[in-house]
Amino acid sequence: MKIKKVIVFCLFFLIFFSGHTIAQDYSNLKFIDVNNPFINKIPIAVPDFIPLEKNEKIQEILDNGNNYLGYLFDFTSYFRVSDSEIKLKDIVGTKIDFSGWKKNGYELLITSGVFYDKSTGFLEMEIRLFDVLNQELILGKRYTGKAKDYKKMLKRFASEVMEKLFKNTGLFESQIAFVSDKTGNKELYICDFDGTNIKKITDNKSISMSPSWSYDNNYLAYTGYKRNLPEIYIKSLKGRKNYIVSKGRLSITPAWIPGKFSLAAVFSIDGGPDIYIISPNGEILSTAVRGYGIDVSPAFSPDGNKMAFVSGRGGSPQIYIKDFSSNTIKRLTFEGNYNTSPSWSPTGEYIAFVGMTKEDGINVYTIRPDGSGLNMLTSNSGDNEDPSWSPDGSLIVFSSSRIKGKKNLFIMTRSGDDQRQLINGNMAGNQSEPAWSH
Amino acid sequence: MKKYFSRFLLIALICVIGLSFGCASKTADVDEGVQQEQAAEDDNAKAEAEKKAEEERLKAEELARQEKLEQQKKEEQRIKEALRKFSDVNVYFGFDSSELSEEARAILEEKAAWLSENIDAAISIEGHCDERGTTEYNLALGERRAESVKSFLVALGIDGSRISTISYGEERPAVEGSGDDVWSKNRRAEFVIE
Repeated sequence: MKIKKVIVFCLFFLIFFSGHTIAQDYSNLKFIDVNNPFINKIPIAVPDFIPLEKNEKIQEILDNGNNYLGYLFDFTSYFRVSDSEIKLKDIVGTKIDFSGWKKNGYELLITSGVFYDKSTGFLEMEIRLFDVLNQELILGKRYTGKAKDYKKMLKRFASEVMEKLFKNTGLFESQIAFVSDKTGNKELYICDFDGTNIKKITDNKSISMSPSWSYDNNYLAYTGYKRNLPEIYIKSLKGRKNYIVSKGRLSITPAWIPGKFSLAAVFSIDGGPDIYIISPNGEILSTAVRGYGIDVSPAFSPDGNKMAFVSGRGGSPQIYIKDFSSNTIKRLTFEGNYNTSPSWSPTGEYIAFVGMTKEDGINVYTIRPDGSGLNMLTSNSGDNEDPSWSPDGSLIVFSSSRIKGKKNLFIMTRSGDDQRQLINGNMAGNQSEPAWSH
Repeated sequence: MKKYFSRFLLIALICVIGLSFGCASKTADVDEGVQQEQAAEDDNAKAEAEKKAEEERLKAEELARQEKLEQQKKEEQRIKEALRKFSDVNVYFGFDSSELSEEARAILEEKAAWLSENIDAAISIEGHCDERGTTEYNLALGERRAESVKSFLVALGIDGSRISTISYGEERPAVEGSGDDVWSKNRRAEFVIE
């Protein structure tokens, strides 16, 4: 199964484009401290791409390529992209005069050379990332593919730069599922990582909520009231089989288990709402958490060995962690009387959640899984809820009512910097419960 | 009605007989005639009195009929009112709580009385929350509220199979907006007769 997946994965990139490392990998180089809560954006220069041979087929890339790559770096919030007056003459480190860039305060420099191979009809693009201060190559890649796919290649490169920072990749290939009541009913929508390309994916004309991506991003599980009671819907995004899981009067909050075709979900079949592990066809595989009062909102650690959840067992809603290997449950949050909506970062280092206090209202926080390092990421800006991590762990998407009391999607860095609206322009209605794909 | 009509016929017959006696005494002497006149007058008065009594009786019966109708109307009104009260009066909860207050228990006792009186009625209890807190947690909380109401009614002797529950979390507020007033009106259990 796994091998098959890898082959399919490789084929995918062969069809669209291929990428090769063209130089030594400085993978241990730490050019930015992402754990510093007061992060300074790193200044990066993305000058015009250089044609390695004149050809009209590459004109669009020469016109737009560096701007698009700049847009991607700017989106991450970890880089400051600015226009530079300096003209790039060559793309190879030994032939670059770094002094000009250094003098203008740049710390990183991107160079790219583009070439059209007439014999194959493919575009070739070499992209390099340099450390300006040390005049060193950090990352170099060569991509081959159709000219119209150049944006995909640039996304791939930008993703690999982010991988250097966060150990995980996939930000620019990711999507975000969310709930909108734009039509008057809560329906599910999907957009690209940057809030563009919005598509409506349910038409249930009732209440649809709590989307969760399967780990291959092929399925969305959610809670729906289409049949006049809350049930779990598992929707294939690839036109394959859909499932409905319904147990008694309450079937809610599905969460996929990392790397598996099974999920955690909440049913009220034996006393209070409890958390069970189920297969998509509704078979209960085990009981994950059962106790007095409410147990809800499961969220798995990236290795799947632990599960954060919300429980009312202590008298107020708090976040707990179930450790499956030791079969123990430990309380994680102690500050305040209302902590819910846990979301485990893909790097495993943090759990984002929502805390409500009388003084500060409803805000997004992060905490380490051992209970240390509590950090409040939002404040004085309406109700801030439903945090979800980008696949590389660099960003958090959440909903906020900070603009005219209407709920909108926002993103911020994992330390709470650069909070901005995800979807440009005005999408009608309220947008909530974002879930970032893997 | 028929009964009244036959009585009326009887009275008419008496009158006719009386009259025919009068006709027959035309040849009799004056004294006799006076006596007979006197008798006829007595008969007339008697008939008149009977007619009056009958009218009185009819009136009384009509009154009783109307009174009964009125009572029926009142009863219908009472049932309607009880039904309206059953479905319109909600049970309210404290923040993040599914516990029943004194007031809630009193309301539920009335509801149990109604359910005992209307043995064929099946109901659905909807659990709702205010907008604060998270959507998912509120779905669970709404369910707890509906269930605690159901348990109380069952404890009061209502058959649990007549009661279903559903949670809408914070999805269906009774009152739009924010603030303590609005929130307290939205933390509720609603009763729907199915």
